[in-house]
Order: sequence, then C-alpha cells, then structure tokens
Amino acid sequence: MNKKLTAVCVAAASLLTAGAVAGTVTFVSRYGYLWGYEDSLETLKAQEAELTAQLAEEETALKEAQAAYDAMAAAREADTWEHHIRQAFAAGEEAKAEADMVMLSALEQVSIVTFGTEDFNETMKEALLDEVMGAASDKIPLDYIITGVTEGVSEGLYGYAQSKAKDYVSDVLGGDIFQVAGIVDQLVNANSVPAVLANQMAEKQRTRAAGLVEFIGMEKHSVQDQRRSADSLYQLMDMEEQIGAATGRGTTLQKIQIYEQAVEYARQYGASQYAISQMARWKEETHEN
Amino acid sequence: MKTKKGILLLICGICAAISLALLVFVNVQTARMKEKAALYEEEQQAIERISQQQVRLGELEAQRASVEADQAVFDQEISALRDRQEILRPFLEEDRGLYDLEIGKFTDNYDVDMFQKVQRQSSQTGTIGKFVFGGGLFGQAFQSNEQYNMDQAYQNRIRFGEAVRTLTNSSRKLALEAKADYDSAYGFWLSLLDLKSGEEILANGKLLKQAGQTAGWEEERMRLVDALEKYAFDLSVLVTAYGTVLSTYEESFLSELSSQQAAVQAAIDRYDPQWSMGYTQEEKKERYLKFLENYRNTIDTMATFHSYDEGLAFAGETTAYHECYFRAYKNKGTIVYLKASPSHTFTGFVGKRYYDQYGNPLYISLDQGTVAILDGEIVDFTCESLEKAEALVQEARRIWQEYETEEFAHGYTSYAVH
Repeated sequence: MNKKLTAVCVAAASLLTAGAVAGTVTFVSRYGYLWGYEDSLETLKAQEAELTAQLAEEETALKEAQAAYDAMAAAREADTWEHHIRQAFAAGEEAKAEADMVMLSALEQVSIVTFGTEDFNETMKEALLDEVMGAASDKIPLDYIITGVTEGVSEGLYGYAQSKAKDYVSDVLGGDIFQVAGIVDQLVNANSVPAVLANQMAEKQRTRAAGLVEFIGMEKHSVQDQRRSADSLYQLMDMEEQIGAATGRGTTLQKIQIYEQAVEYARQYGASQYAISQMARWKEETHEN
Repeated sequence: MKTKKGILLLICGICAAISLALLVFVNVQTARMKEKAALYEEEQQAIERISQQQVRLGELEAQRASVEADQAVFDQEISALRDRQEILRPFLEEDRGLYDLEIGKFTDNYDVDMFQKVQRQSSQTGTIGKFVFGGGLFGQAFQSNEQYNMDQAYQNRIRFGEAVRTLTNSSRKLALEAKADYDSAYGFWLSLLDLKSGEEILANGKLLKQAGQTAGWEEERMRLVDALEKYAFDLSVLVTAYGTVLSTYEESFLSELSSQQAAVQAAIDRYDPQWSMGYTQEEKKERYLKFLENYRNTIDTMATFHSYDEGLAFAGETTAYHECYFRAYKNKGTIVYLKASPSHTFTGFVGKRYYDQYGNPLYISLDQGTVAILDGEIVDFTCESLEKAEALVQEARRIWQEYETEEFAHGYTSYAVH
C-alpha cells in the first residue's frame, strides 16, 4: 500500500513538475521576446504626432511653393506682346468709357443742359463698361487693335465705348437740350446781370456744352481730344459756378474733383495708347509673340 | 528503507510545490504578458507608421527643394527685372515735375460782380429803363443812353476776354496736346514702377526689359518743353495786359494765371534754361503786335467808359508849361495810360502812352511815330530811327516816374523829345 502511495505521489509530482516545466517553456517561448521590454508607446505617439504635424506643414509648404511656382509660370506664360497689347487695349477702352461717363454726368448737372441725371445711372454705366470689357477681351484681331492705335482707324468694335455713348447721347439729346433763354432771364431779371454779359455767358456755356456733347458723341477720340475736353469741361463748370454765384442759387458741382477725374482717365487712356504703339513696335523688332 | 522513501516523498513534495508555484506564476505572468504583447504590437505599428512618415517627409522635402530650385530660376529673373525697375526709377523721378505740372484750366473771366454793381446803381438812380425781352433767343434790352454806355463797357470787357483767349488759345491747345502725349508716355513707364509682386514683375518681363539707360519719353518731353515755351510767352503777355486793367475779381483770376505762369517758367528753366525753343523772335513779335492792337482798343474804350468799369479810373489832368495837356488813367492807383494833347479839349491828334503796372512802356503813339516794346526791347517802330524810338521810350519812362511831381509840370519841355 505504502509502495503504491509512494508511486502515485512520485508520479503526481513528476507530472506536476513536467507540467510546470512545459508551462514555463511555453511561457518563455511565447513571451520571452518581451524580456526586458519597457513601455515607450507614449513617446512614440508623441513622436508620431510631431511627425504628422511636420508632414502637414511640409505638405502646406509644398503646396504653397508649387502654387507660387505655378503662378510664376503662368505669369511668364502670359508675358507675351499679344497679351500686353490686349490688356492695354481693354484698359484704354475702360478709361475712355469712364471719361465719357464723367463728362456726361457733369454735363447733366450744368444748368444750361436740360437732360436729367436719372437717365444715366450707375447701373447703366456698369452695364456699358461690362459690354465694353467683354468686347475688348479676345474678340478683336490683334492687328486691328494695333492699326487702330497707330493709324487712327475707327471702325467695328474699336471705339465701342464711344459708339455706346453716342447712342446714348443721340437717344437723350433729341431736340434742343439747352435752356439759354432761361439762364439769361435768371441772370438779368433776378440779379441785375447786364443783358450783354448774361447773353455772352449763356451763349458761351451753350457753345461749350454743345462741344462736349459732340465730343462724347464722336466715334473716336485721341488722347489730345480728351485732354482738351477735360479742360473745356473745367471751363464749363467754372462758368456754371459763376452763373450760380450771379443768380444766387450756387452750384453743387465739384469742379476740381471732376476735372481731376477726367484728366486721370485721359492719362490712363493715353498711357494705354502709347503702350500699344510701343509694344507693337517691340513685337516687330523682337519677332516674338 | 523507510528513510529513503521519506526522502523521495519529500523531494516529490518539494517538486510538486515548486511546480505548482511555477504554474501559478506562469499563469499570472501570461495575463500580464498578453497586455504587454498588445502594447508591444501597438508600438511596432507606431514605429512602422513613423518610419513611413519619415519617408514621406523626406519625399516632400525633396519635392519642395525641387520646386524651390525651379522657383529660384524665376527669382533670379525677377531680381534682374527689379534691377531694370531701379534703372528706370531715377529717370522717372527726374521728370516727375513735368508730369505733375498743371496747365490749362483757363477760366472765362467775366467780372459779373462788378457789372451787377454798376447795373444796380444805374437802375436805382433811374437812368436806365426796364428790360423788355422779345423775339429771338436772347432778347433785346431797351436801351437808354446810360444803358448804351454801360453796354459799351461790358462789351469792351467781353472783347478783351476774347482777345486774350485768341492770343492764348493756340499755345494752350498746343501745350495741352503736348502734355497729353507726355503724360501718356511718362504714365506708361511710370506704371512699370507700380509692379510690386514677383508675379506682376514676371508677367511684364518683356516690358521691363525695354527700360533702357535713357528716358523713353525724351521726345515727348522736348515737344512739351517747346509747347510750354510758347504757352509761357502768351501767358506773360496776358498777365502783363491783365495787370493793367485789373478789377477786383480779376485779382484772383490773375493770381491763378501768375501761379501757372511761374510753374510753367520753372519747368522751362529746368529743361531749357536758354529758352531756345518756343516761338521765334519773329513769331513773338507778330503775336505781340496783333494782341497789342486789341489791347490798345480795350484801353481806349475803357478810358472812354471809365465810369462803368473799375479797371481804369480817370486820375485827372496835368498841364505841362501850358504847352501840353495830359490825361492820366490809373489801375489800382498806378498810372497805366497817359493821353497827351496840345489842346485842352483833346481834339485832333492825341498822343498815347500805354504802360504796364510797373511803369514800363508797352506802346507809344505820338506825332513822331509809334513804338512797340516787349520785355523792355523795342520790337517795332515807325518813327525816323531806332535812336529816336529809344529816346521816346526813355521819355515815356521819365514821364511815368515824374508825372505826379511838381518837376514834371514845370520841367516837361526840358526832356520832351521833339
């Protein structure tokens, strides 16, 4: 009995030991690689986050650099004589149209002229400018633009703004638009301005205003025409001021401001005309597009 | 035997205990190791990702370096184009004054206030009738003698204004046109300095490359200076003439003209100090004499109707040695016109001396002949010789200087040219 018990005990112990050894071996074989392992996940996560941010920054920087490069490449691509000429043409047409608007607007405020400001408002002006710019963009043959500037040709779309303004002037200015007699009457009867002087002043205004209306209606203006007209406009406004003072009703015309606007647009128009003629010459000389 | 068995059992017991303990230990550690293994796995993935990111970062940096290298070519080009701008800048700055110069704005000069005042005074004193308008656009006024005289004065002023405009119209037009051309050329080149960003510069590279070592607007500049010299001459004549018939309003008008004249002259002095362009001497003479005719008519009429125009005031008569009678007319206290006659009724031939506001003779009309003077120089005469003309000019100067003194009345014949 004792022998049997002993044998059982020994067998059990052996089994247990074998199981323990096997378990240990299995454990070691499975997890032995983790021997000495220290947890550094947080550090790695921080490093990863930092790298992610760096990557984002770098991507942004790359995009920016690429965009800048693309813009430069596009800019250089656009650096052609044709592009410059078309740009100058569009800018010139816009300036010319703006100058006409300034003149029309000023004319409407002069007491001797009878058409009203409500006929020509900002919306119409914008619409006209849009049309002008649309027409000026790419539709006109380049040679036509150059010839128009260098040789003064005024057909087709060239002088488009003027044609529009001309239409407007024709529409609005049907019949007598000047109230000369009314001005004379105000000057003479209301405030004792001598009739001789009143007639002279009113007639001068009428002549000058008629000249400006004719100018606006012209199909093509030279920059010299524009500059002289700005000067004439100033004289018209100055006389309006004198008449306003003489009749005691004053004037709200901002003559200096309007004159400076007209001169500035004339300058812009002139610069574009000069640019086109110069660029056409350089294009010819360099044989470049 | 028993002892051996006991030892064996003891060993078995110890082994069993150790094994048991080991099994318990392994069991406990296995659970821990599973967690650790999961962490380890996560870490490995993180390391993998980091590695990939580093590779990506490297790629991006390489790409950016490549783009920047390409960009550097543009930068060099832009830098070179900016240099062209800097070449252009001093030329533009040098001529900025001409661009900023304001010419024109030549207003109509009607002294309405003065004539309103005259008209009201006359109306109040009942010397003129009521206005009646009828027929025609401008109507006609019923005119009494008084009204007729006043109208003569008004019309005289209007005619003078027209004469002034006629004198300056062509040169003003010329100057405005030359200025328009100059501004066009200068404005174009100036716009190239407004290009600031790299894109703007590159997009206009062809234009900037045209900026040379000289002002591209030189031709337009010289044409403008030439036109300005003509305009300045006309302005100087006009300022002198207006200076002699100034009414109250015209002081400010003249002041504006003088400012413009000074600005124009300063511009000319800068570009052509010798004043070698503009009108020829012959052209100047022709213009001046033509204007002088209108001017003399204006003064004569103004003297006749001086009651209605404050530009010229009768300043009284002086008799010199009972031989010659003088009538003086002043503007703002200064003699600008002298009539002389051997008859106290001033009938028959009347000698005339026209002066500027500083006493310089402009025109002399005597029985010895006529003399026209421009800027102190005799430009035309009909008397017997240049010497005689010069003597008449000297005489006119002395008369102006001494007219209001006792010496003049008593000593006139001692220096009169006969």
